[in-house]
Amino acid sequence: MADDEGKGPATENAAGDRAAGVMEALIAAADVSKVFGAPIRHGETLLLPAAEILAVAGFGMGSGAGVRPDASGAPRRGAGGGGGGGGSALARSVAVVVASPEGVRVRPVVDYSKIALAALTAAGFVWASWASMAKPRRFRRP
Amino acid sequence: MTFSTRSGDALAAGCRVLVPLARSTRLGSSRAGVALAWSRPWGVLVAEGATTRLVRVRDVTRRLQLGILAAGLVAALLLRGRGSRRRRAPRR
Repeated sequence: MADDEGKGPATENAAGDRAAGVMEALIAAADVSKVFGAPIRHGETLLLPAAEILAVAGFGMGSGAGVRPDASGAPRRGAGGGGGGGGSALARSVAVVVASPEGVRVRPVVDYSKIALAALTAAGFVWASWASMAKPRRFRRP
Repeated sequence: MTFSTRSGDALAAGCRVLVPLARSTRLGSSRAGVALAWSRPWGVLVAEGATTRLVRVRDVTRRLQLGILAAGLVAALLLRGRGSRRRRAPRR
């Protein structure tokens, strides 16, 4: 019985350590060293790609134990536990640094789909405001 | 929450030496159960002869996104304010 009681927290700690390890690996994907890619040389020109990286991870776990009488009335111990987690890592190209004999320039990488989505969202704000202004609420009197 | 700026390996490009700089923001920790890491390019230090200058890397997509959203929000608030003033004004 004493062994069973000791197994719960130990197993939970091991699972917690494993989850923390997975989370650390996921967060390491957004390490600052990954922001600049491998340089590309083309003649006298050097291209250095740069990206933004975002990694989010989370996990949670819980366990419990209790005693309840079975059909014969004898006390019966029970224990259970569980956990879950998830995470995501996103990368987006931001710019390319071009170093040529003429100089060093930064060429931005523009994501037009993100800009179009932002424009649609802004248009949604304006439309919602305009609609509420054009049709003011009318309260019916009893 | 921690902020850090780190430099990458120096790269030789002709007579210049480039040192990439990146910024990182970390929130939470694996022990806390939630962690977030956000790293983005900040600039490139260009050393040429005895002079060193910083060439900033700007996120044009992010700036345009935020600018458009802010403009939309301001326009919506102005419209709403105008509408509420019109409703409050007495009719002649």
